[in-house]
Amino acid sequence: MATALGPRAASAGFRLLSLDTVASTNIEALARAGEDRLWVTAREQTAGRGRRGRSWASQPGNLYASLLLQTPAATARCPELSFVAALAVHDAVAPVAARIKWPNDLLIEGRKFTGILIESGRDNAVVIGIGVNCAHHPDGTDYPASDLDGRFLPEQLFAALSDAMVLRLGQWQDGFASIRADWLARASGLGEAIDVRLPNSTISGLFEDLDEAGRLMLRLPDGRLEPIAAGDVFPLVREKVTA
Amino acid sequence: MAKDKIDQDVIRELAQLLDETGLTEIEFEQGGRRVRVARQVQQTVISAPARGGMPATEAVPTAGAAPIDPAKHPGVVTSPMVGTAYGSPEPGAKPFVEIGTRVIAGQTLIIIEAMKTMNQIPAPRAGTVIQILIEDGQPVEFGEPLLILE
Repeated sequence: MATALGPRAASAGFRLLSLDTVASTNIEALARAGEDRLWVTAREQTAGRGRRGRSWASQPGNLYASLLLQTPAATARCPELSFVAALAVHDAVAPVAARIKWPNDLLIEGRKFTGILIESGRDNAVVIGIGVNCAHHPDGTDYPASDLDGRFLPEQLFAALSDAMVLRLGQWQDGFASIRADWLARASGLGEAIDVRLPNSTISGLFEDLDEAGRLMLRLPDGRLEPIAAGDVFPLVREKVTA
Repeated sequence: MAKDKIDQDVIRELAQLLDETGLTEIEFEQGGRRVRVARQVQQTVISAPARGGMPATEAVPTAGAAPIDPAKHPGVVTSPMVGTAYGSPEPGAKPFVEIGTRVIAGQTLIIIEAMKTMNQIPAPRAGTVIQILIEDGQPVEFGEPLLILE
C-alpha cells in the first residue's frame, strides 16, 4: 500500500514527499524550508528524535510524518500548533479512546503511543513532526509506551491524519479558543496531581487548567498557580501521595 | 591560550570590553578554559573557575562606568515568546554561541521551548555575542532580553 494524502488534503493543495529511509523526517522537512504545506513521510528513521535530543524508536511499521508550513502565524502563536497537531492525531485514530497528555503526547490506557515535536527553522518555516506507534513500541522509556496493536497501517493512518490536519488548521485560523476547549475535553490528568519535570528540578501540584497561550496551570501546594511552558508531565508517583 | 597559566591579555581585553560596553559581566570560553569577568560596585573580579580547587580571584579597580540596562542596549535580542530558553541543541551539547562568537544573520543563537515547540531564535544581523543574559533551562517571558550582539 502506497502512502498518499487523503482527498481533503490533496484538494487543499498539500503535497507529499514519501521517502523510504531517512535520518529524520523533521530534518528532511526543515531542509526544504521555504516550501509550504509539504508532508514528508518515511518508512523508517535512522535518527528519529524527540524533545531535547532524545531518540525516537523508528523501525518500519510505525508512522513517521512531518508537515512543513510557511509562516502560519506570529512566532508567539506557533506553540499552539502543538495542540492543533495532537487533536489531528486524536481525530485520525478515532474510534480509539485516546487521551492527550500535556502538551501533545497521545496516550492509550495511560501509555504513550504518539509523540509530536515541532521545530521552527529558517525563513519562517515550522515543521510539525509526528510519530505514531502503529505496530511497535519501545521498552524502557521514561514514560511507559504503547502502540495501536496493528489496527492501522501507517499508510491508512497517514491519509486520515493529513485530512484531519486540514480541518484542525482551519479551526485554528479562527483562533486558539476552540482548539483549547477541544484539547481540554480530551486531556489526560486534568484536575489530578502531577509531577512536572523541568530542566533542573521537578515540581508537583494539581493540573488545574490550560491558560490562553496553552501553558499548563499548576496549582502548587502553597496555593500559588504556576504557569508551565516546558516540561515533562508524569502522574504523581504513589510514594509521594502517601508520604 | 596556555592551559597552565592565566592569560592576562585575555582578561585585560575582557576588562576593557566591560568598560567600553558598560556591561557588568562577561564570560568567555576558549580551549576548555572559561574566564568570567564581572564588575561589582566599581571593582572587577576575575576568576578562573575551570581550574578546580581554589578559584584564583583578584580584584582590579576600574573606572567603573554605571551598569546599563541590557534591555535598552541597541544590540539586544529579546524573546519572541514565553517559554524555556536553551543555549544548546540538547543537554551536554556544545552551545549555539558563547561570549565572543561571531555570528551571521539568521544563525541560531538560542532555542526557546514552549509547549514542545522548539523555536530557533536567529541572529537578526551579523555581529559578535558580547553578553548572554539567560541560564540554560531558564524560563523567559515575552520580550525578555536573551543576549546582546555588537
